[in-house]
Amino acid sequence: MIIVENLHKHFGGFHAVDGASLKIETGSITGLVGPNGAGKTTLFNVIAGVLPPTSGRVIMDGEDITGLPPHELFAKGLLRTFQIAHEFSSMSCRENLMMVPSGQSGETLWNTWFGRKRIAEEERALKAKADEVLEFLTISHLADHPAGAISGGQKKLLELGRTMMVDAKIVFLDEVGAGVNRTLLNTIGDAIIRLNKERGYTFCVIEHDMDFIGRLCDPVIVMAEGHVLAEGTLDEIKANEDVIEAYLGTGLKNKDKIGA
Amino acid sequence: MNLTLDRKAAVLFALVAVLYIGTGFVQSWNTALSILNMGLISAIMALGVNIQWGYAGLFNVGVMGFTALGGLAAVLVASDPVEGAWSATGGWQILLALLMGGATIAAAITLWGKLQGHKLRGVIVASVLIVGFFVFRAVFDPAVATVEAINPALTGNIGGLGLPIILAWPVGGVLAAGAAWIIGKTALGLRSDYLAIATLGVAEIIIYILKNEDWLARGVKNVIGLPRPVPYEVDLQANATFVDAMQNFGADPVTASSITVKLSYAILFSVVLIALIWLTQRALNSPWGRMIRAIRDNETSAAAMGKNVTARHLQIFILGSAVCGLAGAMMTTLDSQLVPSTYQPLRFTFLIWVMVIVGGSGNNLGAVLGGFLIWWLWIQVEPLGLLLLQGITAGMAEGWLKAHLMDAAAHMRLLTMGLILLLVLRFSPRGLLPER
Ligand SMILES: Nc1ncnc2c1ncn2[C@@H]1O[C@H](COP(=O)(O)OP(=O)(O)OP(=O)(O)O)[C@@H](O)[C@H]1O
Ligand SMILES: [Mg+2]
Repeated sequence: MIIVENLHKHFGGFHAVDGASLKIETGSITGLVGPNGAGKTTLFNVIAGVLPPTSGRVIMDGEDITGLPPHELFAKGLLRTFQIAHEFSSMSCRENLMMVPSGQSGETLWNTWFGRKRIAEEERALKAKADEVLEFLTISHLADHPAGAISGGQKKLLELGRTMMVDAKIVFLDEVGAGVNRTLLNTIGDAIIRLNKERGYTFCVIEHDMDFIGRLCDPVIVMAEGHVLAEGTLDEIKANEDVIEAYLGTGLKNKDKIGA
Repeated sequence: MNLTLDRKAAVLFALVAVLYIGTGFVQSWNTALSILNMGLISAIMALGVNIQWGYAGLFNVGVMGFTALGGLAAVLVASDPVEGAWSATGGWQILLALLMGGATIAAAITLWGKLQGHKLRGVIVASVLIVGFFVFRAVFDPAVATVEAINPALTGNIGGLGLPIILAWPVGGVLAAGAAWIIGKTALGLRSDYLAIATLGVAEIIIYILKNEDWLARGVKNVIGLPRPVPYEVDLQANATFVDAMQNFGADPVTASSITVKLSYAILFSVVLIALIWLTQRALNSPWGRMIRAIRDNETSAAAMGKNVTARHLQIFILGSAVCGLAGAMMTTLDSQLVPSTYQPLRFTFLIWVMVIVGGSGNNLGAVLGGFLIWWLWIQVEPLGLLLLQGITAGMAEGWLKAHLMDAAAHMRLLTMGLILLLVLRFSPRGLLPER
């Protein structure tokens, strides 16, 4: 379970996250929605240790993890994807996946010189695993392509794929479906549900596509102007006056955007 | 690596080999081997810088400092012990003072951490440092005076351990690694330009200490006559078997002895270079190398994928510096002397950087190629330039123009380096042998 307590992140005088408090239950697929600029990505960045909070706390399974560096959070099973794809552009897609698991014996210099046999075995297993993930994401044919040269949507898939290379506890997905076609989006949705059911991943999903959110997420948390506005099932928040107001207030004229 | 790059590498290395062999035929084999030996050392330094810059983007502008530490290692390991220097009031007391100085700094750092939030934190830590400093000087200064008073014309320093000088090579690496650890611990993880400034500053400090602390390595009085790992020419010439063998071979024993010595150095250095290339290539073509490339491609993402970016940067920075220190010890071995005033940023830092950039940063073989090529040019451009200018000015009347042009020959080196850098950056911006 992740608990965020009164979290603030200020950029100079601008309060991108302004006293956000929320809970992500273990085993849930929690949706995080809100108009553009609501502070969702910034909240992720603070939770994931990329940005230091101005104030507030993040607690994971009873342990204060506020401000821990990303690699330590990874070791605790907290993974995330990036809204703007952060692929390793000069490496092949397969290598992008193979680099993920930590504690590979080949990451120790000594072994790279004198422990090649063990490395070779591990690499075989990693490669098989990576190919499985690529297959699952329908991008097997890109295995040997440099990740910098694939399409934006494919990069998003690769981002998701990286979280499938290890056993995570909780995964934060920042618009993993943006720029991905409808068929594939459904596949991604299936994948998320399966990882949640079969491997017990907890998810926190930022997404603007309400159909996608509706299919996967319960509960849904709405953020606006840096704080949490409402929480509930999708139907509940769709009926919430504050939420409708917040979406309209950003200049999005059509109410249908959130299906209200 | 693909085939064309392999072929390109083979062609370029062959061309550089032609330069060296041509030097042997046109000038002399002695000259060719002299250039080759420093070329080998330059290649190793370039490899060290390439490890840092090419694979982690760490900007080390203090190469000369790490090289000088290697030189210091050669003196401390291989020169003869100085009689009487290690008395209780001499060498040992210096060591004691240094330990106390280190303890003071350690205490200050610990206190700084422990007293977080304390009102008098600054005052307490400052007083510890000030008191520590005066105690240090009180112990240090008389001991230094004692050591420096011992036969100052010949020694006046603590001397060395009198061990085989080859042992100094790894020790030089370790000294440089230690300095790199201190720099890295303070500057890595901050903005990347801080590292550059820190390396520059520390390198200057190291050179300053070498020049001014006579008790250590005689300062600007230099240490000369360091022992060799290879035979001396005179010994070879006095050796009947050697002379006979060379005469049967039809060679002049004097020239042959000098070539034998240089060839021995070349073999030793080649072994080190090949071993280093093997180690670096193996490391890079492995999950470790993959992790390093991932970090270079995208630090944020690599960190999110569980890689400790700062720790890896520190590791790479230490390794690259150690390689520079190793090369520095080898260079002092080749020279048989330590002359602190020769450690110029232009000669070491700048020139090594030209080697890496021209060779192809990120590619170990490229850096090695750059080392051989640029070093050859650095040596040969001056005589070639002189020849060229003599040709140009041959028909001129004596006068200011001719004098001016002839003076310019001395600056040919820098001009050429600049020109080569420009040409490479214009036509092959990623170097002669780019990374992949
Ligand atoms: N590094 C930064 N410096 C200054 N302002 C920032 C920074 N990062 C984000 N912001 C601001 O904080 C606000 C929230 O941005 P954030 O990216 O968290 O929004 P979001 O909810 O993810 O929006 P979207 O749905 O468009 O991705 C924006 O107004 C943005 O301009
Ligand atoms: Mg966002």
